[in-house]
Amino acid sequence: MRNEKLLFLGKLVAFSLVGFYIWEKYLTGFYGEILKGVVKPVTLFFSSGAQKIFLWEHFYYVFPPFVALALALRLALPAFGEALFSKSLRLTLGLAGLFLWHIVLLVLLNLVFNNLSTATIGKIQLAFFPYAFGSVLNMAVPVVIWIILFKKEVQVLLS
Amino acid sequence: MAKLQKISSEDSPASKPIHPAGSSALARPLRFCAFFLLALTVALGLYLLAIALWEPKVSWLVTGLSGSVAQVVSLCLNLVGTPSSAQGPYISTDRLQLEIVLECTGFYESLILMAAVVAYPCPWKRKLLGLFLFIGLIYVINLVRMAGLAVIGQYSMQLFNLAHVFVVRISSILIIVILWLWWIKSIALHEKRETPLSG
Repeated sequence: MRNEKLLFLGKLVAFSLVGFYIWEKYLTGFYGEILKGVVKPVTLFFSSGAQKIFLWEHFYYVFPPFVALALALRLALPAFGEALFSKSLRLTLGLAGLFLWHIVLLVLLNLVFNNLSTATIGKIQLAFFPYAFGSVLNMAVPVVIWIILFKKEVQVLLS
Repeated sequence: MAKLQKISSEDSPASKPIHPAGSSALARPLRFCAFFLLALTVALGLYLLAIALWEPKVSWLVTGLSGSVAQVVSLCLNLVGTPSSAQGPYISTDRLQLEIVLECTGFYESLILMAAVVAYPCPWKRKLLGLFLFIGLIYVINLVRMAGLAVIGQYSMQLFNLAHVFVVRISSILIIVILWLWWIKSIALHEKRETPLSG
């Protein structure tokens, strides 16, 4: 049992490092362009006077840990082929979920930054508050999606 | 007449944690996740409200926290033979200057982890144990991360930039998950059984 936990940890670290390298080298820019292509028209739809579209690259880095968490789990279903298909499908759903989350988050933040950029509470820009909130929530969302989609495997890991 | 048999320490049920099949809370993940996000929202909301209402005091606390991390990281650099000094949240060596901001202190990781602990259904004693444990543990783990980054930065800025992203963005989520799973397994779900009499 302990070996399974150590195996999970080992796979998690390995997949994280590899995933981070691939993401950093090949995918970050590409993902940014896709996001911009969606966030910009949606933002302009709700706020036609939006001057600038903000895209915070640090939000994108939730993909490597999510993929690593999903891949590090042992398949829970008895038939390997069935389990693999199910895991791939769930991983794809999770990635799609993260993408949708980023669209919602970035559109909302862009609406705030474009329409409330001069508003302040005391010395602090009002826009800081939803930005800080979204940033922290952005770290929690991949964990939430992971637990929901891979609950069987997580339960086996905890048993 | 029944014979009393000595039970070896390895077989002793008292030493074995008893877990229900997997984790009952994760059998209903949507419910747990809803509580988790709610707890995180409340924690973040309180923090942001504190900033709105008492910004100077909160800034002072944040500077103090960042400063403490900077002091320890500077100490670590000196211990490995790299002369450095810390002034407030700033660390200076002959090759680099770093500023420790709130994201570098483990504060947000602590918030997320504490929300996950609070949301998990188990006795409050175990939640409180987790909360106190993790505040200290996250702080120490974060010191190790920052000291490691500073040492890397001393030798290569290119590697530092890469490592900085990995440490701050990627490893944060993994540390949260690993610590939380460990807490569930070792503390939240841990049950003691009464030991039978042994002779």
